Amino acid sequence: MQRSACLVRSLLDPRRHATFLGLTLRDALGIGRPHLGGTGRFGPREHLAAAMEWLCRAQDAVGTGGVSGGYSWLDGWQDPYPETTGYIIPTFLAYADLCGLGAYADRAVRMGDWELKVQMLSGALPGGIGLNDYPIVFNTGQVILGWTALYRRTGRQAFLDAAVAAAGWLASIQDADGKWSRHTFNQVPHAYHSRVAWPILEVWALTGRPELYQTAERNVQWVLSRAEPSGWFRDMGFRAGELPFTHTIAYTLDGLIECALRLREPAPQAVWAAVERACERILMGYERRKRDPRGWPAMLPGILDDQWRGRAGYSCLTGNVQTALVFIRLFEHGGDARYLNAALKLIDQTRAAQPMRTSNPDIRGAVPGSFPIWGGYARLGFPNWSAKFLADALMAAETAVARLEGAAS
Amino acid sequence: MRIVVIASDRRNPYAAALTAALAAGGRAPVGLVCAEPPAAVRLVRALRDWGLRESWRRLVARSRAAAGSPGNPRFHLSEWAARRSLTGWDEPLPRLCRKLGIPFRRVPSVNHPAAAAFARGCRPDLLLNAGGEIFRRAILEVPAAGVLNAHMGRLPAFRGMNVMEWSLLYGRAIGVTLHFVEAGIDTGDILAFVPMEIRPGDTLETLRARSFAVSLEGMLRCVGELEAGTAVRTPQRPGEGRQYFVMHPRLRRIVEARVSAAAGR
Repeated sequence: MQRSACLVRSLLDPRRHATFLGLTLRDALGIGRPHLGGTGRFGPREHLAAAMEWLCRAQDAVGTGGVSGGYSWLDGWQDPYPETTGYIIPTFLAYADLCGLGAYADRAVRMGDWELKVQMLSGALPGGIGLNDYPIVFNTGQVILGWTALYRRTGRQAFLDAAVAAAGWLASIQDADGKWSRHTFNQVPHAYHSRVAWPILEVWALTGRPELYQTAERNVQWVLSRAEPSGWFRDMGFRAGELPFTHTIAYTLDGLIECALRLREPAPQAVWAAVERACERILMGYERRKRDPRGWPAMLPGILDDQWRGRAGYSCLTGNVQTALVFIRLFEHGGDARYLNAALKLIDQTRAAQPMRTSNPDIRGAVPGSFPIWGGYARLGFPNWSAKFLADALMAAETAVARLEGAAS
Repeated sequence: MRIVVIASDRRNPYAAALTAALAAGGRAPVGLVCAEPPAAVRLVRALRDWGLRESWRRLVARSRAAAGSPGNPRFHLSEWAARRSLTGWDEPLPRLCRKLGIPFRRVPSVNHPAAAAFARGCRPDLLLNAGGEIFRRAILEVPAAGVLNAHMGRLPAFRGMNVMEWSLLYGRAIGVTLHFVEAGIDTGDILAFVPMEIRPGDTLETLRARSFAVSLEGMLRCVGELEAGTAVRTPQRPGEGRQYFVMHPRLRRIVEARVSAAAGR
């Protein structure tokens, strides 16, 4: 009944329809597309500020301390999302440091406190948007990232205790071969659980518990066992046999990179080699997507197949900026500036899709799920993780470019 | 040696200077292919790739770029031509070809069937590339000796686009590589590398502009060596070097700062 009333209210909201219609027209006509000359009137810092301000509104919209899962045309603001609230915490802390805005750190603490309230007795975190009664492996891992970041910042024992309990639950339900097959999204193991191994290594770094290190290392070995000679990883999709969005491809690679940075030698070598093999294919596929060799590449397709070919007519914007983040980490690791170059293009293309001038605060600064906005990933919606990863990518790119500029001077 | 020149547009001074220099040296090309799409297609591509504002800025910048400015390739080509007492180098290609009696054919793309058909009719030993397109097999198979290209960076390390910028970003030697074209991107046999130096007052623009004269000099030297049978072809090994792509403006600004520092500005 309440949902029906909400739906009716949303259908009668003319401002919402006007702004979505405007965005649909913008994408259909290709207005504001980035090109080699620039990306419009707003600089990276303004896009970053807009994304962060929108995330604040997403937090305020639900009033729990958690961050709304996003905003969509039909449903308006969604319920808070434990998983993404967890990994939004480090973004807020980084932004607070970058801009000297303590209010963002305070907000991060409120997010962490809310996560403490929704943690299950087993130590796991609930899956899905809102408060559900089933635990999910991936979501639990992402919340650990928030708690460990908060513990490092505040020293509050409650955050570490919660992270230890969550990591302990993850270790307890892991299969012998290192994968997770129980309590997973769609009940299948995922290669992107490398992004669960990473937070477990974070807890290991804080506690020194050897069983956690072994849990993470086993999972990394299992993910590497999914690698094919082409650089592809099997099981990167949401469902068995389903082709993955760039969103989960980048999750897989990002998780592996973060693990490589924390694992003891010689394990990282094989991880870096696998990541580089995959990224070389993504980079080449992306940069060659143009008719004029001097032109700007077309957007990265939202879905790739096992030969790294595009399998979607739209772009998954969060996947784009997550890929940019992976590329920036690769540049920092090996110094190959082609990756930073492609990352800057991916970021420009994504921020060009960010509504900056609309009078509708519900979407100003948000990042759509897809380009065009009616594409198949989070259709007609603005997931909070798109804005989070855009903010992360903008901050990482600024740091990487500043380092190069420093080397130049 | 029968030579066909491939140009990117009718007002390409590099192609004109190459053609005039070959003719002056007694090696007048037996044909010239001008791969230039219709104006409407070029306009649509410019708008698609650069956007309206940037397309307009580039158009204005090009019309304002004085031939006497070191940032304009014509400035260096003019100096180069003066040293050789060369005339006709700055004429539109159709007029130059008429004057020299060289068969001329305009096509929308170097890979258009008409380009290969025309070139085949000229029975060339060698194609000299004075354009910017990627060659497909049909045109590559026409000349007996191959297609010679001047690449604005050192091969095999720097393949692809904006390689002068990439070389500068990595602090590596800049210059022009003369090499044969094959189906891969800048993967054909290497004939020579002509290094360039950063001079006082240089900018990225002046370096790029000067590289056209350096390319011409290298191209003519290689043609001479090929004709004399003294050219040494050094094959590239698969997997050597990296392919680079159009440089993002943020990185380009870093490169410009480095050139400014090296040029003492």
